[in-house]
Amino acid sequence: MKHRTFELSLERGDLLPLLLMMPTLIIILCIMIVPLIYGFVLTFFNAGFGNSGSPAFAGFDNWVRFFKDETSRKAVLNTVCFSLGATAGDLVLGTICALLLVKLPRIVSSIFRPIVTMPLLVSPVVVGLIWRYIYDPRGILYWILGQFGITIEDFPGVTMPSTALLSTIIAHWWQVTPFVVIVLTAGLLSIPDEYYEAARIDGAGAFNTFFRITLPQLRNVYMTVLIISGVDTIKIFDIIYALTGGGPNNSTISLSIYGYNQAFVQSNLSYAMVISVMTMVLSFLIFGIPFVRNNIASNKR
Amino acid sequence: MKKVISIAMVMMLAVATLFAGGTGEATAANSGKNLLVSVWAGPHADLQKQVVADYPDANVTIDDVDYGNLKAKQLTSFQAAPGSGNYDVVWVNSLWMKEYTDAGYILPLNDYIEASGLDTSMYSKGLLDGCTFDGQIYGFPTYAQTMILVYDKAAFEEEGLEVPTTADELIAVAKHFKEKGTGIAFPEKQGSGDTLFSQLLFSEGGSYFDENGRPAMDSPEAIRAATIIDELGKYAIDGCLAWHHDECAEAVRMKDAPIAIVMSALCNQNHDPEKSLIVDTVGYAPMPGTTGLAAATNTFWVWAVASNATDPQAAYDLCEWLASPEVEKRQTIADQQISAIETISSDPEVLEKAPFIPVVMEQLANGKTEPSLVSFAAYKTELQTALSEIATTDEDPAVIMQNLQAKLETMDFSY
Repeated sequence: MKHRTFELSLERGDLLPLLLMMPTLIIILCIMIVPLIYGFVLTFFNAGFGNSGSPAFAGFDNWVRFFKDETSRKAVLNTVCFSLGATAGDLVLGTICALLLVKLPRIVSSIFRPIVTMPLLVSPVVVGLIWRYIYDPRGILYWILGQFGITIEDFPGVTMPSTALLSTIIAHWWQVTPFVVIVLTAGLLSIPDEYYEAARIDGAGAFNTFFRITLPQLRNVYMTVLIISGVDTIKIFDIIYALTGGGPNNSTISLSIYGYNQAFVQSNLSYAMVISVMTMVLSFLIFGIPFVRNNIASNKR
Repeated sequence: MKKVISIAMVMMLAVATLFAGGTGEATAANSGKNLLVSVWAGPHADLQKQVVADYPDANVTIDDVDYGNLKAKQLTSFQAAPGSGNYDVVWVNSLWMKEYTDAGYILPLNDYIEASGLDTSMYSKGLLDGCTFDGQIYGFPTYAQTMILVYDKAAFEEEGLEVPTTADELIAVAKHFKEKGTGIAFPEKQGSGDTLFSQLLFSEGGSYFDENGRPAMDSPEAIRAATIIDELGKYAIDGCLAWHHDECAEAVRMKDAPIAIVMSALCNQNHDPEKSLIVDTVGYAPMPGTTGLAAATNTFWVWAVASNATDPQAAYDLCEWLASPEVEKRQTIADQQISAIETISSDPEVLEKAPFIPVVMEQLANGKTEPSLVSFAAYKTELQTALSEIATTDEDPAVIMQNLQAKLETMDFSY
C-alpha cells in the first residue's frame, strides 16, 4: 500500500487560512486568554490595588478561604437560586407571551410586540432603580396590593430576607422575558404550518400539539436561550446591586457582588479572582455542560 | 481600492479636525491647562460644577460619580498613566485616606503648601489631622458631615411631644409616631447603617478596638449601640429596611415621617420649597446617646492631588483654591455644606442660611475618627451585615454582636 504524505506548500497557499485567522487569534489571545491566565495566577498571591512590589505568594490560601467562607457559600447558593429561578421564569413567561403574540391577529400583535420588548431596551442598573421605586411602600406595587388588602407585612419585598431574592428575580423576569419572546417568536414562526394541520387532522389537542410539535421543534432555540440567559444570570450584578446591594442580611448577595466588594471595597484582588473563577466554573457546570451535551447529541443525530 | 482609501483619508481628516478644534478652544481660554476632577455625585455636585467654572487658571472638568462606584472609578484611574484621561484631583472620603496614602495614590502636599505660604491653621485641627500621615498633609478637608435629628416641629406640637435629648427619649418618640401610623426614618439598608452605629458607639463612649488592639464589638457600649438601633428599627416607618440616606432625608422632607436621622449633607434640601414640605417647620437636634451626649463620626471629604496627575502643581493650585475661605463660604451659603474652616460656621450670613450648622458643630466637637486601617473595610463589611441581621430578624442584638466579635477575632487587622 502506498502512503501519501502531506507536504506544506507555501506556493499552494496552505498557510493562507492560518494567516487570515491570525489577527483574530492574536486579539483573542491578548484580550481573553492572557487576562484569564493572569487572573488565575493571581489567585495564588495576595494582591491588592496599589500593593507596592511583588504580591506575597499565598499558595492555596485564597481557595481554602473560599470554601470555608460563610458569605461565599451564601453567595453561591443565592447565585444558583437566582439563576435557576430567573432562567426558568424567563423561559416559561417568554413561551406564554410568545404563544399569545403568535396567536393574536397580525395587526394586534404588531402593536403589542414592540410594547412587550420595551424593558429589554432599559439598562439593568436602571431596571434595578425602577424596581426600587416599585417596591417602595409608597410605590405602585403596594398601592395595587393594598387594593386586595395585602400590606408590606404580608409581602415585605426587598426589605426582608424571606422575599428579597424572589423580588430581584421578578425584576429580572420583567427585563429579560422580552428577549426570550423575541427569539421564541422567530422560532415559532419557522415551524411549518403543515405539522399543526396534520396534528389537527389527527385530532390532537392544544396540549398534545404544544408538547409533541412546538417544544421539540424549538429545542435548539431553547438551548440557545438557555445558554445566553443562563450565563447572564450566573454573572448577575447590576439589577441586584441597584435594588438591594446584596442585602438584607446578605440574602441577595451574588458571586459577582461579593467579588466586586472584595476587589473594590476591601482591595483584595486575589480573593476577588477566586470568586470570579468560581463564577465561571459554576456557569460551565450549570449551563455549559448541558449545552455541550446537546451539541454532541445533535451532531450524532 | 482608490475609492476606499480616499474615503478613509477624508474620515481621518474629519476626525483630526474635530479634535484639533476641541483642544484649540481650551488652549485659548486657559493657557492649555486642563484638569479632570473626580467627585461624588451628591446633592452638591451641580454647585461644584458652577464653582469650578469660575476657576481662572485652568479648564476644569468635573466627573461626578455616584457614591457606590466612586472609589472603584478612582482606583481604576490611579492605575492609568499620566495624561491618559486619568483624574488630576480627587475628592476623597476621609475613610479612604489611609488606604490611598499607603498605596501612594495621592501626593503629599507639604512642599507645595510651603511654597505657596498657605496658613493651614484655619482648618479644624481634628479634620486636618485626618488628612495628615507621618507628618505629611495629603489634602485639604472640606464638607464635614454627621447624622443629626431632623423633625417636623408642627407634628411634634400637634402631638404635644418634646424634642428627644437621650436615646431612650428618642425611642419613646419613635414609638409614639409608629402607633400613630408613621414612625422614625433612618437608613437600615445593608451597608447604610454603620454610620449611625459609629455615632452611637462613640456617644456611648465605646470604640472599635480595645486598648490591646482587639476588636471590641462585644463591649457593653457596642451592644448598647446595637440595641438602640434594634429598638429604633421596631418603630421605623415602613420601607426603612430598604432605604439609604437619601430616601430617609426625603421621607421627612415630604412629611411621610415626622422625624428622621439624616446625614447633614442632605439637610440643605429641607429649605428648598421645590423639594420640601417642611421649609417653615423644620427643626434640628443632635442625635443623642444614652446619656444625651451626641458624638459625631468625623466623616468628611478631602481635596487631594492624584500621584499620576499630569500637572501636579496645577492640580495643587486648584485644590488650594477649592478649599480657600472664599470658595468654601460661597458653597456653604449656596448649599449649606459644612466647611472645615472653623470661622465659616460662626459667620452670621452662613448661619442664617444653614440653621442646622450649630447642631452639626456640636456633634463634631465630640467627634471621633474611625480607625485608619486598610483592613477596616473588611471590619465594616462584617459590621454592616450584622446590623442588617439585627434589623431583619428577632435575634437578640447582643448575640449577634457576640457572633460578630467571634468572626472579627479570626481576621487580621494589623494593616
